[in-house]
Amino acid sequence: MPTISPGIIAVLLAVTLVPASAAAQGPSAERGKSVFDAGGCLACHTDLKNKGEPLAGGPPLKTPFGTFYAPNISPDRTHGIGGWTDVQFVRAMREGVGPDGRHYYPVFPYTSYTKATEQDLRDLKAYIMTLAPVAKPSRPHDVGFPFSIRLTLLPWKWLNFTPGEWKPDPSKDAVWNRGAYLTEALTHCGECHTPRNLMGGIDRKRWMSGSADGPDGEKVPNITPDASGIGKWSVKDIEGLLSDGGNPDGDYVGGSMGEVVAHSSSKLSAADRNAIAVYFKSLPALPSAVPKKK
Amino acid sequence: MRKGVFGAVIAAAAIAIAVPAVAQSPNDTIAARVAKMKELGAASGAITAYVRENKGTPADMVKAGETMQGLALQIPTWFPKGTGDGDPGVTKNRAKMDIWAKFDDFSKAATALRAEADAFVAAARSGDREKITAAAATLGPKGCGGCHTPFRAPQS
Repeated sequence: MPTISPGIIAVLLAVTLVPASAAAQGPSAERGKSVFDAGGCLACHTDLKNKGEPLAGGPPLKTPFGTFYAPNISPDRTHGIGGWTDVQFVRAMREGVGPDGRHYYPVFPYTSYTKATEQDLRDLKAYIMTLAPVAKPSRPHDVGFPFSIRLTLLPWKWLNFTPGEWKPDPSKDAVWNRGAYLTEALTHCGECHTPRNLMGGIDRKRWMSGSADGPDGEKVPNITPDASGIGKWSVKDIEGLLSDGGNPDGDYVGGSMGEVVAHSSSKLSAADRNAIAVYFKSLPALPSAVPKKK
Repeated sequence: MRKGVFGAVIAAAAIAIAVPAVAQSPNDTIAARVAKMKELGAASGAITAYVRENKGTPADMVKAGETMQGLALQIPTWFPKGTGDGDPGVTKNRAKMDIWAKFDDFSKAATALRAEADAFVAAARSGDREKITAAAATLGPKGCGGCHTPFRAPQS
């Protein structure tokens, strides 16, 4: 009677465990490129409209709390993040705290990035470090009192920010989990498509149901599977919009979503766009949180 | 006599061309361009249905592409000064004032749409589905998106 030796079992186990131990790999700039694209880093940190250098600092972003300018995150040692360690970078992304201990305004969506895996974040930094350093100082934010005092961010973070890596839902399949991870941790769709409470925190009960206070005062549509949202859209329609920006009715997305398509979602793999579409179709259908026009 | 009729035809044609530009109020111009944009939208919708649902034929794609070819370079003429969102006496519309601040960029975007439409029609004439979907993939972002991303305000 043939028996399986413990040695063979050990080998089999080692083979099946490879994906889990992949988390211990060294950072890869190549993988980081796809994290960078999914995260949409370029569009906020680059003044695309005025053909600014990549990652040298973003255009004004008007919000109800003031006007923000995403800083220089190019690998420049003085003005960018060239001098940061991996640990400092991961802390900035995960905890919203800079190497100097400064707390970041949540206009930088660390509320989403906190859910990214450590591997993804280290890969992301490795990729950013391959880009050209730009010696250009970041523009200070233009924020009125009391938000100009960064200490006001501490109670905000206490109430509106839950740090920690995203946990897969074991009751759902791998595709759904990939879509949920991408959406929650990297593509941060909810930062614009979800209404905020009075303090500017994301209202999870109305997840993805739209917002009247999008970037630059844009109205951002409901993208839950409700009739007022994308109820009639197929998975293919969502994939198609993310890939080429076309709505099923022939219209073309513009404004901020046009930037998302151009610099982020069109660069994802087809499998990742499918995962995001599957995830959105699974969301609870909610009525639109955007007030109707008069 | 023949000359007279000919002259009258030319005069009538000249009036027909000149009238919309002269007599239209800003709000009529906006309504007319929305209708024109819907023609572009119908063509783009047909392309989307072909790419995503495999509906229609390459011949339909030639037709849709030709609609875009025909309209692309007209687009800047649909945006005379004084018809933006924020101009006095103008109904709420989605044309950002940046169109007139950067009219050269705006016109270049229309030219880019024409180039994309040319490439799309060439692909459609080949009848090869793969070539058509590849051309459609850049037609949206580089053609439509060239204007809609910087120059169109979101739906309100």
